[in-house]
Amino acid sequence: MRRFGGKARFAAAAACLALVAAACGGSDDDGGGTAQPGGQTGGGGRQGGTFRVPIGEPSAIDPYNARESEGSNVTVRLFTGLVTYDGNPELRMRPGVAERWASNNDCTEWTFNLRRGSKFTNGEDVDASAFIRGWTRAAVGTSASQVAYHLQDVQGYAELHANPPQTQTFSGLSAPDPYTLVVRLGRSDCEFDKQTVHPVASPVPSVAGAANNTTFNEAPIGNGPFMLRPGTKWEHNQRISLVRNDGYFGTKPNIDAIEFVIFPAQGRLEAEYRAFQAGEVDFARIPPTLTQQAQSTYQPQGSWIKSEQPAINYILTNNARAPFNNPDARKAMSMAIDREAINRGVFQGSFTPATAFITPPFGNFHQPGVCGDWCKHDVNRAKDLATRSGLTPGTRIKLAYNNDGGHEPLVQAWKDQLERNLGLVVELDGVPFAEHLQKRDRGDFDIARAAWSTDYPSPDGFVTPLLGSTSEDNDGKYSNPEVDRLLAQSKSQKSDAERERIIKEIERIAIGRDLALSPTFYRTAYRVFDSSKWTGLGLDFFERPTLETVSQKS
Amino acid sequence: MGKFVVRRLLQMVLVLFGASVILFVCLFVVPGDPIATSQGEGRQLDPATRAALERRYGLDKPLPQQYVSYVGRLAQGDLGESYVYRRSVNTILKEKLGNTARLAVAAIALQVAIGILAGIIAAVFRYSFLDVLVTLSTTIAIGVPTFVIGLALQNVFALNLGWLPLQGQAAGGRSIILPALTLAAVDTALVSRLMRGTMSEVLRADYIRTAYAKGLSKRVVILKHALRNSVIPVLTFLGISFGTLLGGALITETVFNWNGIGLALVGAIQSQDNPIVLGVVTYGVGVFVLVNLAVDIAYAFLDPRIRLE
Repeated sequence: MRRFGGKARFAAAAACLALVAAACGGSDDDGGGTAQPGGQTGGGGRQGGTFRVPIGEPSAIDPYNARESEGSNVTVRLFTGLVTYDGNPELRMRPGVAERWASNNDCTEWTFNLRRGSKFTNGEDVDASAFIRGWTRAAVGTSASQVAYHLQDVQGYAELHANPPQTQTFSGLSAPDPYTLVVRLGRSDCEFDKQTVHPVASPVPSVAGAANNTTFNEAPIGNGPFMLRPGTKWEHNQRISLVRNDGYFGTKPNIDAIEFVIFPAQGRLEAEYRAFQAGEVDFARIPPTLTQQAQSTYQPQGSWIKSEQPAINYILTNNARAPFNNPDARKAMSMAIDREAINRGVFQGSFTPATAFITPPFGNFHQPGVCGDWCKHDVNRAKDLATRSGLTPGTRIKLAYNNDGGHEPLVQAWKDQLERNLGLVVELDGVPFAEHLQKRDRGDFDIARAAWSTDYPSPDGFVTPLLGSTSEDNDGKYSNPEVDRLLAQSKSQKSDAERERIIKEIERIAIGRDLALSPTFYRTAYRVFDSSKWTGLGLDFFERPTLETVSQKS
Repeated sequence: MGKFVVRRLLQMVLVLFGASVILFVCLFVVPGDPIATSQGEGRQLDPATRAALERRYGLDKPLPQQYVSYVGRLAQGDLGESYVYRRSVNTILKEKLGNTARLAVAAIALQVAIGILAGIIAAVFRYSFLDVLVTLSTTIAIGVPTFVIGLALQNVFALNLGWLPLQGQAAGGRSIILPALTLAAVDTALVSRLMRGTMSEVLRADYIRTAYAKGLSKRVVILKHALRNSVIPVLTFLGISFGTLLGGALITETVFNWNGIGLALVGAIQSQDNPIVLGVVTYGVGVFVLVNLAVDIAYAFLDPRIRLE
């Protein structure tokens, strides 16, 4: 779970793997969505070929610290963890190295039964000790991993992660036999299996050594569908070359090799896109200003990928003080905003106006229209509600945003609409992202531009941090005892169906009734790829290209 | 001359010291939180990880102590470790030095070849069509921003004609052509202007008339007598230019994804990766001083009247 400022997207995330990748979501048709399995183009392509993917220089590809979309894009090709996710609408995990897994009744202890005979590319067995080694190596305080917090619910994490560490072993992990991994948690979590899709939970071979082993940092040895081209290592700021791992236990990829071509951070999207046009890479992100132009060029060629992402843009309201401590004031504000017009005018129609908080890629958990009238533009009703809730013309409100993400056109549009439709006086308060977050923490705003996305295929990553009254990420200070009670229930609810019912109920109350925050847009990702050469490419739940399914055109 | 070199090298130590103080203060006093920035936009760092990182980079010590240990390491040639990549800055710079040097040499070669030649032609055939052409093209090269030149060359030769690679270094010798042309454009224009000016002046001097009177051919007069006497200011300029280029070409390297020092600096400034910024700038200052020393020594060879004392 994370907030983002919109300048770039730093995804951390997980593996969508070859075993299941045929259904890894993604689609090149206009209605594409990651939650619909099997949406790729064509299929049935030829084996072989090298697919060239542009990325920025990762900060790490070693799983202990691979943290942004760039690094994890490489790491997930090299490592396969316990479970995988294929984009199914039930948000169920599929087998990875673990063939079967289950928790005890209160979801505080998880047992993973590992497949036998799966190996690292150096021939070492992938057994329970490989996972214990990998998790311990990431969590130990001296590694200073910036993603180890994904393991923080495992017992013994605090002692191991302390600075300096009070122990060198991860007390919550044990292996009663070589192919059984038992994980004890510090609290109930019936969706813990989902968290293990993050690359930080990868197994590592014994040659990995400590986290500061530069040999392994530069050329990690994994158990995934691809491996570093033998004899090569990460060529910094230039390329990372992978080849197919023919000893992989799951479905083997169609392509022979991946070439990650590394681009400088400055102007990366523009550079990637130009390199794609020059035929130097096979796939690219698109600079936001060129989205329309790119779509009109590439969509007719079948080279266009559109994918809904598990991310939401919303207007955060300060629910702890007047005027937005009154739900009617929040509703008035939300209804005074014309999402359609802003999408056309500011985003060239590239986003989708939101009608719910939990976005479409969450499959069955997505409730279109749950926001109801509050997410619809209706000036007359907005005025009514505003009058009733004391949001009278002339009321001054402060609109906070981060000024390093290019959000000026958006907040200006909000300001104009609120001033025109409700007669408010909106003061814009733009500061850099880090400072903006501090202001939000302090409650120094009335409304704020905000965005949220999650690292796991679970809507819990949306509801618990943003709607729970004790969450430190709940900057709007929404507090509803009923919602808190339901959140606690969902965490320790073993039945998937029951959990789905509870989470939907939470969204109905917190958004449909209270409008704790005002959803504005679903995040949609766009990509281009060279469809004259390739077929079967999409984007997975984690916004990564499905390199395990792509193949050459036959 | 030995004394001269030693004195200049000692001066260089002073310059480096001064630069390091200024930089250190600038980088570490300006607002911002490099450790938080290194996390990107994700979840904020937990206290234990933060403390571990601060200890690792010595940021838990008071500023003066940080500076002393920085200078101490610098004296041993150790530039520290990058906050973002957790790699030795020495290693990072080593990977990039060769690339920056290759680009700098290619650009200087273009400046010498094209710039000096164009300057001579313009001076010898003053107010001719060629002279006007040189003046016009140099005005354009100086006036148009470097990144525009780079993008234009990319559009024509990579995107439209497909003759040369758009970016990167994968295509060997073909990869360097567009970045070298882009990088050399402005300074080549300045060299030819400078050359034209000084050459025109020299051509009016008495000893040139004498040389013609002795019956020497125009070619000998221009290439031997006039060129040698008019090239010194140009050489000074080339020295400065080369020193600057070796310090990294920020814009050109960024436009062409050329993995050099300049690219490292741009990225490091963005992500507040102070050890890399310090390393690159310290290196740049050192190279600049050394190249200018070399230029000063070269004067003595070109003009025996100049003594190095």
